[in-house]
Amino acid sequence: MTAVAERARPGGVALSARVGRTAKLVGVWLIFATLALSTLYPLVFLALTALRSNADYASNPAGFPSAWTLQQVAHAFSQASMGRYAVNSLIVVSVAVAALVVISCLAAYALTLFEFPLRRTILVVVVAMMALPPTVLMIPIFKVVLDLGLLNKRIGLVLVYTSLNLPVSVYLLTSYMRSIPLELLSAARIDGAGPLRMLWSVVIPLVRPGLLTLVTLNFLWLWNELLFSVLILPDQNMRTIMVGISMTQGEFQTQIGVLAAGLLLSMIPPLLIFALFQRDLARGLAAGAVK
Amino acid sequence: MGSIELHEVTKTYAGGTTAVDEVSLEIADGEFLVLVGPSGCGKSTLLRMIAGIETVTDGRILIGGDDATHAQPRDRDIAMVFQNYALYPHMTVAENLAFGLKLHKVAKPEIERRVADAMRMLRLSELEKRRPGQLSGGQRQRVAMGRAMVREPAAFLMDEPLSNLDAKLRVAMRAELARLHERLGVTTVYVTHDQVEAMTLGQRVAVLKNGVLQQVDTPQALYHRPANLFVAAFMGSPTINLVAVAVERDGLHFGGHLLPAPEGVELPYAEHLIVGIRPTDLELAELADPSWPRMSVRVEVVENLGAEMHVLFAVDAPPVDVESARDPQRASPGDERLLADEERSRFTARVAARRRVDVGDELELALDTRRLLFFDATTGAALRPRERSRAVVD
Repeated sequence: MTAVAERARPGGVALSARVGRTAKLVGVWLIFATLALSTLYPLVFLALTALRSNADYASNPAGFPSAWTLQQVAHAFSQASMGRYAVNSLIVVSVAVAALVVISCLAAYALTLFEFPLRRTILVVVVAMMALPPTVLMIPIFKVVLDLGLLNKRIGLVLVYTSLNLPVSVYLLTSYMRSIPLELLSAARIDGAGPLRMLWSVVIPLVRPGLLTLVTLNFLWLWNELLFSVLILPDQNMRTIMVGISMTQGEFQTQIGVLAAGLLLSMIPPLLIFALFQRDLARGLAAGAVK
Repeated sequence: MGSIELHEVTKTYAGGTTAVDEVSLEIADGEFLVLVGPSGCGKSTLLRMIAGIETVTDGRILIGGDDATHAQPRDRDIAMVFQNYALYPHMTVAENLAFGLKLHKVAKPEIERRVADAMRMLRLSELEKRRPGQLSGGQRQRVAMGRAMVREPAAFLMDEPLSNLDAKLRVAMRAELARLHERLGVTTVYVTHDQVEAMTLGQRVAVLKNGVLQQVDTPQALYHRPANLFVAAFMGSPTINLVAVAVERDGLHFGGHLLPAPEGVELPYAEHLIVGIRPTDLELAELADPSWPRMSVRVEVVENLGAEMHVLFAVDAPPVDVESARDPQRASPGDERLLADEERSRFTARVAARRRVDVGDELELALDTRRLLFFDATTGAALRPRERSRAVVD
């Protein structure tokens, strides 16, 4: 049909525009639905597998359970020690994240808002350390931990986690602290605040989104960390949950349900953390992007 | 005791830039002193040094008679109001006011009393639980003032506190500040780049240029007896009209005009002389004193302000370049002249809007020669004409 004929028909142009818009919407929804399904399916599969018997799984791996049971979950705790591994992870990661928050906060505060010799050099070193892959440091770190008598001790892994993640944490917080107006700190000084009081009463409340981003990201990274965990805590009773799950793959080869239950359990704390702080995380990441 | 003394206070930065150059100043207890000057003249740096948030390279600062040169800000008994208010965004209005008092370990009942009094005085009581982000510019300004007031300091330091407000609110807040000072009687050092603010608020005004104190005096004295070209040009709105003149027996010659010398006055001598004529010293001839000399001009621009008009016209004489004036305290004779070579001077007359004046009109203006200001064209320093003695006249 010619353009003239189309214009001659009342509402012709408007109809084709509406059809185009609808087609675009359908296309977008299809893409996002596919992405959502591909993300959700493994989780659903995991949950279904954990809540059915091994025999039921063997008979119909991709289907729904014929009977629901918590037996696999119970075995995960009793036979595979997932509960103990989860507690180990919680202790190590929580202490490491707390240490990271305190040390990186103090370091970023000093590096951003105070003048002292070699300040810029230290900042450059911090950024450079971020570029080092952790695997490169594996052997020297192991040697140091061994020499300090911290092998097979949770505090050893805490120290390793803290030192490995300190550069990126310091860098993240310095970018937040740089955005604090200097007049605010001058006002606090005139009001009578010393350096630590300024940090506690003025700086920390203002960089709260950054701190919560730090907590969330570090928790997620350290919870899922495997390499140094295997290295520093080789003892079976000291294993973190990720190490426990990877070892379970060998020990409980035929008990796929126990493995699935362990994986589900390992996801709960990070999901909780993420659910609690997701708004601050999004805000924090967006603020970083705008800068 | 809230007196402040500055003895040859100097601030030099690491790169060698001198922001404040041997400034000496005495501010009496209860006085409202304004530091004024163009951007970059060192007024804010000087204020920050008094506050203790900028270090002093040389010189001494005394507050209430005590040497505070190297004292911490918290030990100086001063409170500061910042240009951008610097309110703590995570605290409520009441918390902002109370914060400084808590840090100084003031008793809780006393904190509550002072905060309540300040909020009542500044009409902030209804805003007590709001955060700065929920306040308008004027409200934030009042909170910043309140935070300074509750400290009951020996001196207030204010760094362009009204510059972020719109014009109308600025005028209203200026009046409030003046009333507040009248009521509290606390020594106040106020920094501004706006000479109108300086003239209306200050009991005395200190004019700074490139870190050097040019003159400190009452607003009227600065206006009528400026120490040099820079002060004359900076103070007063519209800006003073400046022109180089040739002194002859019959008077002052410039741009085809002749001004007879004021009666009974011996004109100052300088190899090159500049005359300053305030726009307010020019009036429409028909409205002026008949004894005032007349000058015919061609109107180029008319700015009608209701009760008065600003009439701009050209004078056939090179314009005076005030920025090229040497520091009159350090100039040496025989230095090059100030004058630019091309173009004509633009004059402004502030006259009563009693009749219509249009662009292109030939206008007759009268000039009050008793108020002429004279400056040495080489140094920019003001020259005072002398009263001719009876013996000389007789």
